[in-house]
Amino acid sequence: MIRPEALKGHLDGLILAVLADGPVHGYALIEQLRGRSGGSLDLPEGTVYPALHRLEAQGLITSSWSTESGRKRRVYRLTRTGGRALTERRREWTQLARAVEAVFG
Amino acid sequence: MIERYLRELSDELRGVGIRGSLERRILLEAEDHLRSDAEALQRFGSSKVVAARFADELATTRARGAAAATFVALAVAGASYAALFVLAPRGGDIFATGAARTAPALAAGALVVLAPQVAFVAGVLAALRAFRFRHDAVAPAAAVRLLRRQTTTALGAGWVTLGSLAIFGLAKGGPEPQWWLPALVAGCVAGAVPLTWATVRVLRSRALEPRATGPAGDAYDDLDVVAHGHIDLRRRPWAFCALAAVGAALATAAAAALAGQPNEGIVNGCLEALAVAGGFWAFGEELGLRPSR
Repeated sequence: MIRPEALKGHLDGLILAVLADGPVHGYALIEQLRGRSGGSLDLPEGTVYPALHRLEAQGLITSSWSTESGRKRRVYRLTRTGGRALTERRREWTQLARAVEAVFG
Repeated sequence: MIERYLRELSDELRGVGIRGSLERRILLEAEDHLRSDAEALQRFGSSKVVAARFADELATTRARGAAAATFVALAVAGASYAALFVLAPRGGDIFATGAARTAPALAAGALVVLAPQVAFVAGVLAALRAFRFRHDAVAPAAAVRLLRRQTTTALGAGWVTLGSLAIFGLAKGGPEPQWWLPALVAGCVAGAVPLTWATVRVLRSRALEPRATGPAGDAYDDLDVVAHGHIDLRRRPWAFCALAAVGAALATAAAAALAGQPNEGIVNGCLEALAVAGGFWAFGEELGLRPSR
């Protein structure tokens, strides 16, 4: 299991990566984060929503209400700026992973 | 259970300054999430933690945005100010207008010179701080509060400048062409519109109560963004003040000398140095330039 504090600085990139596959609501996004990490990413789910609101304020994602089976859900989608930010985050992560790997051996 | 959690979350959100449509949206999203599976409530995190995280992230983002908005607004208002300053009719005797007009004209005349300098320094310090925290999702609450103080000081000084300019323009007396009053009103409105926009951003930012722990830092940490460790006067803030005062005095004297008025330049340079020292004394703590007592 990965500790939540180890995710510091990377959560935004992970959220953008999930949204790159298409619009989703908050619960589904968190499910995908957990599923795609093989269950390793297990953080307090409520703390993902502030990050979603912040990314929206920064113009990296947008959101709108939709109704599914009578339930009102907020659906998030990646913007073009968010797509560019994701590319940058991927590049940064590759550099970091390479550097850490080289040190750990 | 879910209803109780949502009530607690609502209380916690209000406790950190999140109300109205944003509070309703957060509660609706939380409710949708919590009703998605039977164990969602256990994994969601305590209402206190979630509300604090919202406050910390929003306070950081909004404080940065308010600082940027204030910087832009002051730049636009500064252009109006400069235009009116250049256009203002010269001549007239401020002491010949009667006591009812002389006193406000003198006070406004002093503020027209001093307040823009406070706005400029506070605005630049706020912009530097916002730039330093540009990548942080969450900045320490104390750091956010210092940024908000710098921004509020800059904006307040901007409003004082604009108000003083209007009072001085109306009360100073002397021969005035017909276009002066409409130009004064237009210039003040052109400055007031961006300042109002920035004020709304600042008020929204100040409504939030962030909780993240960590040091506030000071203006010297922010100046390091441009100084890259070459200036370290944190332990001797009054030495920094003296340097700034001498620099401002020399610049003022040099500008007057270039305009062919060296004697006036020396007097104005000394007054400028006193103004810098006075500003440092009055606003130094508020702006993070000297330690709190």
